[in-house]
Amino acid sequence: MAKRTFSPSRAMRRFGFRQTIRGALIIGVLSGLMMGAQGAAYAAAYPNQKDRDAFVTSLSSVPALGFMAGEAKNALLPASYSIYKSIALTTLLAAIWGLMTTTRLLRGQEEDGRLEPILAGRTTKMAASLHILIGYGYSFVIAIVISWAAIAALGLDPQVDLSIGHAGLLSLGVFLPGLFFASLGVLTSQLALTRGRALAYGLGVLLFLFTLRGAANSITDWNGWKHFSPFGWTDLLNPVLDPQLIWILPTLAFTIIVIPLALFFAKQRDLGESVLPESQFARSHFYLLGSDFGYSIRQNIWPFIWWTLGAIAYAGLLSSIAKVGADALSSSPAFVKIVSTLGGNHDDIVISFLGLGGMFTALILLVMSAVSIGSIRRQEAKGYLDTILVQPIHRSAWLTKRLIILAVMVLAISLIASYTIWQIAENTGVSLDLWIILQNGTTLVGSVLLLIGAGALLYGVLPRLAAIVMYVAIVWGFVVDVLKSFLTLDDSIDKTSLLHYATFTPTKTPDWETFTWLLGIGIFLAALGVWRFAKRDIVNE
Amino acid sequence: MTVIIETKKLTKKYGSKAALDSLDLTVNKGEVLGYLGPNGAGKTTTIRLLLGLTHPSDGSATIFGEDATRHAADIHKRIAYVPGETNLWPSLSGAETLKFLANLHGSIDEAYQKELIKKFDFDPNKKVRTYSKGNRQKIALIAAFATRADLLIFDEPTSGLDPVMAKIFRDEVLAAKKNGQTVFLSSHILEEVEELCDRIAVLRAGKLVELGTLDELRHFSAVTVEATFTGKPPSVSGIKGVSNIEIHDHFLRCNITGSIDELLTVISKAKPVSFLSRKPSLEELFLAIYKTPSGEK
Ligand SMILES: Nc1ncnc2c1ncn2[C@@H]1O[C@H](COP(=O)(O)OP(=O)(O)O)[C@@H](O)[C@H]1O
Ligand SMILES: [Mg+2]
Repeated sequence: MAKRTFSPSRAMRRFGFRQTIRGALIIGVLSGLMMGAQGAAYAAAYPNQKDRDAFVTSLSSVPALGFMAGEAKNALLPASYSIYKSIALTTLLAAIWGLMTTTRLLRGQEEDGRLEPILAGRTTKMAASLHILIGYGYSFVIAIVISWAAIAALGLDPQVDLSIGHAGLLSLGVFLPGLFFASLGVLTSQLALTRGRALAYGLGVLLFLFTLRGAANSITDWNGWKHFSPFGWTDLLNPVLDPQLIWILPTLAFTIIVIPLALFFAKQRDLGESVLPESQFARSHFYLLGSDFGYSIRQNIWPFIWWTLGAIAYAGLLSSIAKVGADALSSSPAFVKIVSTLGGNHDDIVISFLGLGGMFTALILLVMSAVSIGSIRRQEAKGYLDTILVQPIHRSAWLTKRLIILAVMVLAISLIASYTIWQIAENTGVSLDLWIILQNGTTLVGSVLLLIGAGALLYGVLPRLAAIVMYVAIVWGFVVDVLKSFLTLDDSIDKTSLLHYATFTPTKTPDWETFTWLLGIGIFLAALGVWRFAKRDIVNE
Repeated sequence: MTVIIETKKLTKKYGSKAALDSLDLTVNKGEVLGYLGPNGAGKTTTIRLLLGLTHPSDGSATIFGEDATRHAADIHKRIAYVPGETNLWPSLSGAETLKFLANLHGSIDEAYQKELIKKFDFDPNKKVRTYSKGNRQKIALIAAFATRADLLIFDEPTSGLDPVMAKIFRDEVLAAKKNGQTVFLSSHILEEVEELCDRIAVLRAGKLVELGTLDELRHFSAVTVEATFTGKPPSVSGIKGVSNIEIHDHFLRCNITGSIDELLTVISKAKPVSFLSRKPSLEELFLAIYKTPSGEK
């Protein structure tokens, strides 16, 4: 009986909680700010009902805007404006977070062989998975509550006037797609043999359902399709204007069906296997195995393709909206205001949208850098780096090459995205100077290279913290950007935001001076990082 | 004799705790050195220092006469290493992994590699992620032996292998030795150590507690004495050098270091019906070494 003090299920729950709470705190704060901070800015920009009506009318006349935004009717009130402005992005973030987390917790741990020792004890695979998920459930609830608290606190502003109950529904609406895709990730973790593939299956479904809801929003005849997407269910939940609680049910039903099903699969299969069969035999391909540099490139081919597609999709989407928006709205003064509150420059509507495309590219590249530094650290933590460094390879050379590959990828993606923006503008009849655009696409990566340099320094000094600090820096940029929309911020605070440097104006002469500074500081920090890295211990997990 | 590895006061501290405390050790060319110690003794810590993966808190290590951390990349041209837990890329196949490791090292003996693949009965046409632990261990061993490097460093290399494969491993180590290669072998398997090692270093709590050939170690250590009596066994607890006394009914077993004279007198006076004195088994030897509090002999 004395043995009861150690409970494997409690240990599993704690494990699931500890592995996820950091992400939950970040996403909770971020979504709370993004959903909560818009109201006051809106109330200030559109003080009276007449302005607001005109604004909504002009928004409704460009349904294409609904792709990356909520339904236009939400722009009628300060309390619900954030749904128009930010719901697409926050639900998308929550969905990606849910999917990434459950695939990492279940398939990722199994792939790393970390479930083996645990399952040697008295726990079954099904029970272990269940309790890990319960642990994640605690984090998930905490994320919702934090986001709720932030939205409710910011909604107290009499100008905004959002009730605590509505704030709760709004936070729930943001996280329901997260729940949906977390559940889907539990399922794909059983279907696929690797975490990468489990994630890819889930992301395929995610992109499809997000696009479905976007298309339903932008094309009036397709409006009904949103009934078939968890992102659409949040629109239908309509948390502030007229809540329809019934639309919580589809997600709950999905979760209640899928998780037991997945756990059943977990029970049926053997450890280290998957439901979808996979041949053990593999044809060998020996390309790019000549050196560590070659293999680093080989490892980065697929990530490069995925990030490029992502950047093209984002930049392309915003650019294609540009022309339609410009045609319909060049006469509407209200429209100029939306564009400027979205964060672009308001010189000209088209240019603003194109600039927005550029800014999103920079954002994607910032996130990609943090992910990449995280993966360099993971190579070390999992011991792959040991295998490389016990060979005749210089440490500093190894890290330098990895950083160069990353920098080249960043620049290439930015140029490809800039070219996409130019091509789309061209197709819609807006003629721009390609040379100028490409130069701007180059200067755009200055802030990204700075972040990479800082990340390399952190990696050289505090490897465990490098990626997380980089994410925090990106989130800080977001926070400053959001705060900027309703507070008058000191210029020096604005300058601490990476996004401040990530502006992109397709027609302006590029700012090579700032770029050179950012690049120079980035290289300096990276060199310091490489130097420190060569001097420190390699630390496995 | 050419010195291959030399450590001087080699120390690694984690916080205030010394994982390795002032190690002085020399390994000569063509020698197989067994590196033993209970879990947490500091074996892996030593090997990571030798490989330049970590930096000493104090002291130094040289390999082939060069500083192990400063000239790591140069030294590694002549080293092959196999850890207890292999860290190979899950998405590569066995064949791709062997090719990649060979390319990283620079040059390998390809004919020997083919021979090793056959000997270890290894199927290279699968993804690493689908291999069992033993099979992953085989990749690392094949890659290491095939380099024919001057110095082979193994950290508990046979932990995932079945007895047949462990035997093949031992054969290959002996072949490497015959070939003039030097081997640093951290191990838990006494059979392995007994068969392969010229000298043995025993580590405990970060300190080197024994160093010598197996026979030398046996010489320093206790002799086991067993005797059966018609009546109650005599009391031997007061005798100098006696330890580990066990008494069941008429049976007495104890260890004795140093002179056996006094003990023999006491036993013979008590009229034993049987008497046996023997060298300790290897296992008893190591249990004894592991158990003595550090700093004592
Ligand atoms: N990175 C580290 N941080 C803190 N302590 C460590 C680290 N690596 C090893 N140790 C400690 O050093 C001691 C020796 O470990 P190790 O060399 O792995 O032992 P062995 O390989 O002989 O089993 C252990 O007590 C271990 O906990
Ligand atoms: Mg060890």
